[in-house]
Amino acid sequence: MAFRYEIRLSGAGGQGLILVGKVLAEAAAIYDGLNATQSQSYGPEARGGASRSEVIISDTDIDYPKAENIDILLALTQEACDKYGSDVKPDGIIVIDSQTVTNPPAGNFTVVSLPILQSAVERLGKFVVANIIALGVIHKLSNIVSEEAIKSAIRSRVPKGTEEINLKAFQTGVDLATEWLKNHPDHAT
Amino acid sequence: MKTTYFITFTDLLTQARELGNHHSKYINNIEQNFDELLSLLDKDNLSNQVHLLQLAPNPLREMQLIASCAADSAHQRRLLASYYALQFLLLDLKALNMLQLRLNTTANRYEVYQQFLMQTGNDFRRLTAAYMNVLLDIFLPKDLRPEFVICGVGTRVDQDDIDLGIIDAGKTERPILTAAFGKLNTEMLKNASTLHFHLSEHVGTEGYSASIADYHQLLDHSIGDCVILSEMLNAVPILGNLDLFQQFKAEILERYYYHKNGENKYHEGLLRGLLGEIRDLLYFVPSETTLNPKRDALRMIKALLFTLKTWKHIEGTTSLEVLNAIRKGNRLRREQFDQLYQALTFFESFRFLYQLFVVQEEEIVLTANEVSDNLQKIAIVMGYTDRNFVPAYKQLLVHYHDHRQLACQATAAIMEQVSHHLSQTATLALFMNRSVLEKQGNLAVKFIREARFFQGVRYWDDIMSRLANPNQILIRRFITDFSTLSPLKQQILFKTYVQWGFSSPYALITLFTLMAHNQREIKNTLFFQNFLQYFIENFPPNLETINRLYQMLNFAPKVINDFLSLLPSPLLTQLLQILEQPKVLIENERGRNTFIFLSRLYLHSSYYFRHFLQRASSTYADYLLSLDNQPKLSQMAAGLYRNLDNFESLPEKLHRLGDYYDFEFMRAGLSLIGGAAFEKVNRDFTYFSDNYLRMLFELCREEISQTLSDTEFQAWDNFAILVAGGHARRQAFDDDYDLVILLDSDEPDLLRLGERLAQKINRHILRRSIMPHYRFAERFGRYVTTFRDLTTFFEHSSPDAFIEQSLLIGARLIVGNSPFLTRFQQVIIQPYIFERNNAFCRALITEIAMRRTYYHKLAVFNIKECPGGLRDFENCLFALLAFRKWSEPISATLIARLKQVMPSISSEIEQLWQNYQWLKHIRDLYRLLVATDDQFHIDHLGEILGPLNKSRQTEFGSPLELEKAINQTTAQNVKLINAILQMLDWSI
Repeated sequence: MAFRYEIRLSGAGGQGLILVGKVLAEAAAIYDGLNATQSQSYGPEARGGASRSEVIISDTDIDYPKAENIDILLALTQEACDKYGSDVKPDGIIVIDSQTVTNPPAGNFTVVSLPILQSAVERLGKFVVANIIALGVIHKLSNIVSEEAIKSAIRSRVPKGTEEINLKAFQTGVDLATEWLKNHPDHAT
Repeated sequence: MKTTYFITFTDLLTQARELGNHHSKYINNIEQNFDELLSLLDKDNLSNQVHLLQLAPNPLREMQLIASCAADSAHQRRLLASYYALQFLLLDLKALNMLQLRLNTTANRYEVYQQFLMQTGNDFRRLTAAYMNVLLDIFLPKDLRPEFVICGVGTRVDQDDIDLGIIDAGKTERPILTAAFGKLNTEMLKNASTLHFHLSEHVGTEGYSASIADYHQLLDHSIGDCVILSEMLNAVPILGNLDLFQQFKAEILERYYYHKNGENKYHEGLLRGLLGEIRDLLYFVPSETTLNPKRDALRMIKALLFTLKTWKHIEGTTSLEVLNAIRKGNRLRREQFDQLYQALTFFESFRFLYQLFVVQEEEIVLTANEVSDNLQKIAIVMGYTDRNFVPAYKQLLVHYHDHRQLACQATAAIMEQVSHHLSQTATLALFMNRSVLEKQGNLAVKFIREARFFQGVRYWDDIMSRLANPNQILIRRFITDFSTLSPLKQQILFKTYVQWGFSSPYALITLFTLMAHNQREIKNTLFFQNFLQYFIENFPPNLETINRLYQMLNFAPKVINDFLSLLPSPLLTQLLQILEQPKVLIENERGRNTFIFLSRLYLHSSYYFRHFLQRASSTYADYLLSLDNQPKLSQMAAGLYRNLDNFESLPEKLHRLGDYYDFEFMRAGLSLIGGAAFEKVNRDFTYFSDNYLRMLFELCREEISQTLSDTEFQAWDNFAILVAGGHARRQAFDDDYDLVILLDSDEPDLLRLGERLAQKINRHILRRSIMPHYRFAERFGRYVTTFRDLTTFFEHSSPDAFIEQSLLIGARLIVGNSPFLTRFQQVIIQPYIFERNNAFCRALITEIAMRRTYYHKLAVFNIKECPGGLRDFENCLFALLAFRKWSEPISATLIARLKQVMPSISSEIEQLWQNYQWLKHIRDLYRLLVATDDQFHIDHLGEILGPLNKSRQTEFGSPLELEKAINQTTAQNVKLINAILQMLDWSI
């Protein structure tokens, strides 16, 4: 049966969420042969530091470009979580950063709280790779695009010389999500 | 066929690998499909008609040829993708080579950048339009196509995405378009640049396209989002039905342009939106660890160009085209437009090249390891070279910030012009004037109703200026109309205004301050309090609104200061809770800190200090950003003092002198609250306070002297001004000025002159919220005291003459000469204090004893009057002074001298002095943070613990602990004073 998977990545400007959106869309479309669209925050949304990027992945043509029934939401700030939490569909997933989002929304969805920003600094010594850690988490929890495809897309999107650290960051995200799934067997994908 | 550029296959791939990693999809595509493409073209004898390793002059025709020789749709798409990849890489590599060539042969770097951007943009648009055209032929054959037109929107320079707006003829056939554009979108994402359909994300309900009717529905009744509007106004048809585009242009786009003598509501809305956006960006404080050319400059410049484009009807589809057209036709602002041109070409090129060589990201994190290598690469391509040990990338970074400065300066100047145009044409302003003239309806209700159309815009300065007009008719009418509504209607209107104010806090906050400025008493009314309360209680604690507040500090510090001064403590507390909450991630950390610092000052400081804070911050609002920077405040204060000479008129000088005093007072207060050393604050305070008094005397004297003859003019030598009390002791934060104006003459004319002088001085001191005190004026009925007055008084001494004696023995000369002081010593101090020192000392000791007796009957704590308090110490010191026959203010120097000549009580004197300083420190902090009252409320001592502990490196954890220490100190003082007096054979 045809599927349509909607991912929204939200947080503050400068957290590299647009790049994550591009990587995911290219991984799906170029490397896994799926259909994908990617859009990003615009107009007043992009002002004041807020940032949003959306990716829709499908195995058939994507005839409607807006994401409205979100399967997985990444929220790296409280504000983003408050703003977009309600768009997550029933049984969807909200991934939040445990440091910056202290007040997770309640509803018919699973909240996955992980130390994404903290891991970037503590495990990899680089705050700037937090976005790729988040990508690892999203990948593991959604299981919609293959790991190889994402790794190829990362290599082809990040600046030269940073490929290794970004791949490590991706793996860190995968590990964080694996650990979480181990502790929450009901949600195994 | 014109050959434009040739390169070998190997060279092409080698050079492309030097570009950013995101080019790998093009390289992979070429590597996989090149051979097949080549052999197919050879097979169909098309090799000589298709440019594979040269830039194609007509890519559409060549793509159509390639499509014609493929077997099926999938095959066509694969070959076309490969051809696109070849042409795309050729395009960029050629542009880079041309850039290098021109930078080496042309002196004007900006012209080269411009050529580079325009050429690359044109080539890219031609190539992508051709690709989309051929793909659409595959996905949507021409005979099946409904009416539509694809428009390119956005900047059309960058290659990271392609912004499109698609207009269709309505819902009926939209599904056909949606299916085709869905396929086109995925194909472009895989093989070219991502398509973005921002317009259709906002307009219409589904699909990738929207109809003109959808645009009408969304935009007819409210102005909407100005960023989307600017995208829309930039629309240029790429392919499809041009008549449909013309209809769209006539019905939708045209109304956002200025029409002389016509309807300008939409134009006004667009300008309000854009000017709000420009101001936010203009006063945005860029991060020190990141670069973001779009946020730091490009958005601001482009928004400004849009205001001009729609105002002046300027043709041009890119920002550079628009700017060039304006530059040519505007000689008056040529300099500013040239600055904008330099900034625009610099930032656009920098951003383009960074995205080409490094990564397609807007934000450049400067702390990343590889950033210097990457920036060096960009710098070299932009024509910089390592010079005198300064690497090219460092020069580039300096220029980055210089160009932002240039862009900001030019934007601010041109923005004024646009703002003036807005004020001349705004329908809202005309409506307000008409409302007042007609004297009908409720202005507060009518205004917000009219403003509904403009919901979301952030620029209301012209309206606020009208309200602040000196004749104040509008604001008075506004207040009356608003405040006389029924409480229920007021409540509804509060909600409407507050909602309006969230998108534009500056406008609503300005409105609050204008109301309070117009009617001082309004801030105590229930109506105004409720209005403020509604605003604060409903303030959305999100990043966007809070950042806007912080930004206001940059462009309207006075308004923010005035607003904070209006808020009662509970509302200030609520506001602080919103500002301080940790969940909000703030870009402008410095702005946040200053805002919170200022709010805390208003919340926690005493009325006494707040007077100075409010006045100084209001007068020198620009300095608010440096409130927590003492060295900078110090420099500013010195500048303000030196600058007094530069004012022409005496009234202006006097006015500025008062401002200087306020500013310095605020600075000293902030310093003590900040935990600075007590001695230093006293020193600083005395310095400016003496400066003030001396200059005040000079200026007042000069003002009076203008009416005097030359002989009368010389009479000033007979005058002197002495300060007594805290000012004499070089102590800070007295709430009064103990002054003695002495005259060594009995001439009635001189007395009158002195009285005029004193009255002038008084008037100015009073404006500083300080009370000038003239102890002798109460005795003699005038401000000026003559030597004869004093001798007569002391000859017929009253029991409490010791008060006057102590005042004189510890006084300090501020204005006057040495001969005058010598004569004063001989005629007054010597005979009436030194020669009567026993009686004087006895009176002081009696006073101490009496106070101890009655104090115990009071159920309060008074730091000055309590046994062992400040007055006990001062009286004890006056007694020692008289005993030694010395006349000078109490100071560290005096203490040192006393210890030297009285070694037997030196340790007691030293301990007493230390205790006195400590108690005085507590009193000063209490004055600044709680109240100017020597009678302490122990509960409030908690408010001074922070600065006291910081300054003294102590660890008092609660008011009770501090109270206990104060009691122990005063008790110790009692013992020390008793011991000192006993050793001198005086007893209490």
